[in-house]
Amino acid sequence: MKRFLSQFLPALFIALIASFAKSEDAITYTLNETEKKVYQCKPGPWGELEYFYTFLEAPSWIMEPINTPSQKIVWSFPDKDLTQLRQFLTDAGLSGAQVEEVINASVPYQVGPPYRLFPPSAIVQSMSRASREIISSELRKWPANQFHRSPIIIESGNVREWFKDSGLPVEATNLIEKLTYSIGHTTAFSDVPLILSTLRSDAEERLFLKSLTRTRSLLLRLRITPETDLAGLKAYWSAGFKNKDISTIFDAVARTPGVDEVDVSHLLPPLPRKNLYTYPTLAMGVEGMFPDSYWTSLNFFNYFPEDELGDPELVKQYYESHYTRSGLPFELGDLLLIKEQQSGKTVHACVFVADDIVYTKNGRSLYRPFLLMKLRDLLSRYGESESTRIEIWRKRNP
Amino acid sequence: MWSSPYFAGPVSVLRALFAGLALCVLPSISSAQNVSGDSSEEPFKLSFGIHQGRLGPWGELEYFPMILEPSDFYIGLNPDLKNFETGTIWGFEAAGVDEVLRILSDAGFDTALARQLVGPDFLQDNETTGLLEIRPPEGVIYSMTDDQRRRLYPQLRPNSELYPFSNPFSLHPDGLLVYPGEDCGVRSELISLVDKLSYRSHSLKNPIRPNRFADIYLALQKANDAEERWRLIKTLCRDVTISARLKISSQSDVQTLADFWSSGGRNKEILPILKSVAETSGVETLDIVHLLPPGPRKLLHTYPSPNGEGIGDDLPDCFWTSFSFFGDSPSARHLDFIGHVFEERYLPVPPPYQLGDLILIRDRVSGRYLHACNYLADDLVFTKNGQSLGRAWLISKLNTVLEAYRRSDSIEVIFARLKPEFQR
Repeated sequence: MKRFLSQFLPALFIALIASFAKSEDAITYTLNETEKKVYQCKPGPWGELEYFYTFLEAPSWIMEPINTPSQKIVWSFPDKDLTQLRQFLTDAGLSGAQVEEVINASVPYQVGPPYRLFPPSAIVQSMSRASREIISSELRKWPANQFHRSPIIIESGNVREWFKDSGLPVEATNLIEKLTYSIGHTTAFSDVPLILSTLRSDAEERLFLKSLTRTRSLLLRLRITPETDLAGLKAYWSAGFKNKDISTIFDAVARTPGVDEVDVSHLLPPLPRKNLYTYPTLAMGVEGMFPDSYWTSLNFFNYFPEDELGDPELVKQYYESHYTRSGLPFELGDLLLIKEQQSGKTVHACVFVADDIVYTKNGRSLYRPFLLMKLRDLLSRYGESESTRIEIWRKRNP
Repeated sequence: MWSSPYFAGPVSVLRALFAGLALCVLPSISSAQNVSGDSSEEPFKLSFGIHQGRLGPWGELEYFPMILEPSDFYIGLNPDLKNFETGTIWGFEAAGVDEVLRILSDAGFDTALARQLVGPDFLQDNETTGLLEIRPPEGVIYSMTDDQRRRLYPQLRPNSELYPFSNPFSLHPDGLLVYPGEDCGVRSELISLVDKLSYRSHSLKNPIRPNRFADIYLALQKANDAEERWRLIKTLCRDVTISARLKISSQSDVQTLADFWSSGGRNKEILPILKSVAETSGVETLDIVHLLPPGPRKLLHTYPSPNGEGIGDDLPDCFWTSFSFFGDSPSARHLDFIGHVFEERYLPVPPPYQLGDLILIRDRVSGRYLHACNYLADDLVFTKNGQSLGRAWLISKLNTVLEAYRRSDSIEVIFARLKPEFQR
């Protein structure tokens, strides 16, 4: 259980300690200008797809049991001694005085490695974006650094727009913007404790925490015109009979005047259709684990989810026995394993839907919904794109 | 004989699973209260095109009908495809020829024809089955009236669930479901034959279209080949559902819409997705699949699987479906008797109705509950019409459902809602 808590529960869920009263504050969001439009996907065997963005936020019931985390900034470096820490911080761009200030603020409270550092807020705020990226990249390796391990991703990259209607003070939003850093081509934010220390009321803290659950997803539609190759669409979306019985939907849309599109939700297998755009429920965790990316991906074609597919020790065995290693071109339902280039370690799994859109759940957290997103955005979350590779596996036909 | 390794139940129930509009029987519940007994409205007339819904707190809906077909797996279980070559046989579980004569007479056959049919040219005593069997000439089958079919067919081997006359195909209130101009794989002559031989399941003051078809052996014999026979069974098993979309513009009051579709907080928080549509230029509608709770969203427009939610031959029916509407994972408990669940957890409610309200259809005369479904919006409901593997989970007009379940002139509709203490 301890291992489970330390490794898998989400950042917010672990870190928030104090009681968190039910929030009646409604957070509403406004799409920024680039998000207020319909985008076209590349045409392919999946047909003519278009999408537009939507935002998801955790429902109130999930937020109710949340404890507010400490305002203390903690960096955990389990694999470094003091000499190595000094060198690392120096290499990251901190001045000699800053390094000593961080060490002096931390070491007196510890008898030896593994060390946890408690950097002063002023130093964290003064760090350059480059320094922040180097340090975050290292912190992200260790589960103890929850907010770096599962950073807040601001897909649009526009922090002010993202928090525009959150109710947060402008100073807080400005500070968040200053504390962001890059992971791949996306904008990330991890300094939750620091922002909490600047807020002035319990209400502001609640608003801030709820706003952090915001996630961007996309709604996907398939256009069907008289010229559409219906047989081709049926072949693609039925995924070799693994997703059968959807062909009548194409016929209905094609034969109904005035109807020229179908929501892709109707074309997904039952389980992802059920879970898409939702957050996990407590019932999903009664066996001890909430769904993660493997559970989500390997259950894509399953009518009933197999809960053991959330067990990391069974995942490899399962896909090796039920899937076949495959290659391009992608097909609906292909399992994509995102692996670190050098170590070969799998850091994430998702399912190919069409074009460059995947079905994914980004972490085991209660605060991570099941969603559709661009593969490019996903790769940015799971390491710099140049250091990861994708392995393709295709489920065998029934 | 129709058999399948997927079913462990007695053979007698198998045809019922296939033939479909099985009666869902829930014992009478004394605390239920009649809220609306109106069955006089016109049933939904199927028209393939976009329909505009009425304005209401749900917003402005537009919808269109979609035909669904069960899977090939399901069609492969059909017993008629194997048995039709015997030709039409009327099997009587009768003590003697006199009883057969009485049954034919009660069904409205004139005496001369009845005597001819029990003569040696047409009647055989099947010693193997113990039945008295009439092999009627095609001319007799063609000439029968709607009333004769309705009265005779239920008397033929009434205890055999595999027999087409005791378990006929249920047709949509608007007849065989074929898109205008569609080549459904069945010749128009055969479709006309089905139409001609269809009959009404009951005699009501307000006439409706024929909604039962039992002469499947004759129709299959008239098919050109195995492909057309397969397509005929598939077409007979078709169902119609509704694809509905909520119209949303930048002027829409998304908070009011969210209030309705969240159903008092029982549905997930859907304000952000409504707002996204309202703010995105070029997007004017949202498929309501996104506004349904997870359970119905998973089931909508799908057919039950033998490996699905059922246990043995206890398959999901209307009660399982409607009582599970807000449940994230439908409870297998709802496959069982749920009379006291309703009594203890639900309260009859007057309008305005909320998303997910339970709708019970009861025969006022017998007191039997014929069907249950869930209110969605406007006059749309989420329903599973029968326990069969060949019945999909649908969105339908309430009046279409009422029409399908009308057994008498007097049915009543009860709307009910979970008591607050049971709402999550």
